[in-house]
Amino acid sequence: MSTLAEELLDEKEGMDLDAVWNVVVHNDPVNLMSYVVLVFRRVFGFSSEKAHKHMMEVHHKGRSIVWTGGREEAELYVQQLHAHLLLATLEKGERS
Amino acid sequence: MSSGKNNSASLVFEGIPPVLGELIRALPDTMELDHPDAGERLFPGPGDADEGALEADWKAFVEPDLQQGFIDARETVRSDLRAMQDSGAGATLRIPHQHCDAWLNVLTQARLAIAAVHNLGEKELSAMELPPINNARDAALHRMHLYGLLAESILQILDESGRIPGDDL
Repeated sequence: MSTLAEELLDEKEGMDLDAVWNVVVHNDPVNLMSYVVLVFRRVFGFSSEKAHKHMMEVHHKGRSIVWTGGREEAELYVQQLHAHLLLATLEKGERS
Repeated sequence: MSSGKNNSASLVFEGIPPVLGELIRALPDTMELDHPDAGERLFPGPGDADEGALEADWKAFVEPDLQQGFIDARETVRSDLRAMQDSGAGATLRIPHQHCDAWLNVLTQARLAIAAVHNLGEKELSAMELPPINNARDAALHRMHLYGLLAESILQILDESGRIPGDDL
């Protein structure tokens, strides 16, 4: 029988500690462009210009990576975007 | 309907015709919000198909919070609608500044739910003119348009007053 410490070690070794996670916002024909800009400014603290740039990327390319970093923070950002009714997902990124 | 004015405490929309007033009053109880198709859009998963455990946790722990937030926003909107005043010149709607976030949320909830249930997409939403109302789908498009105009007005007033980035709404 394994000890708790051994179980925790196994769990830790199973995690990909080097992974980074992207928060991706997807296009949605219903949400207003000005509303999407507001949400980006509110959630990420983007400048008006940066928020507008990401909104246009979503509009033209269908998606935009709006944040990259650790898993827990990424999940919280996706949750906040869902609370504002934006289509957002979490995806594993590549460390540069 | 006037395009909306911003005073020190609230946004004020005056001269709202009776038909539009009724549609605005119906906003927090938009019947499409209870439809399963709306639920799929209002509560999307976190996305990564390889993360089955995350999907399950999301449903168990995140969705209830999101649902409560949406219900709270609707209740805030209901309270403002109860105070909506009718007169011969049309109804007057006052949206306190601290309620603007709830209004934008509920207008977005309703628009997404209506679009999901009536299968309204890019083509219908970007059309230059609204169709005459011949069926429930046409009526749904008109409701979406009205709620979109109201949301745009709120956003424009907030933008002009420089209130957008704060968390005080």
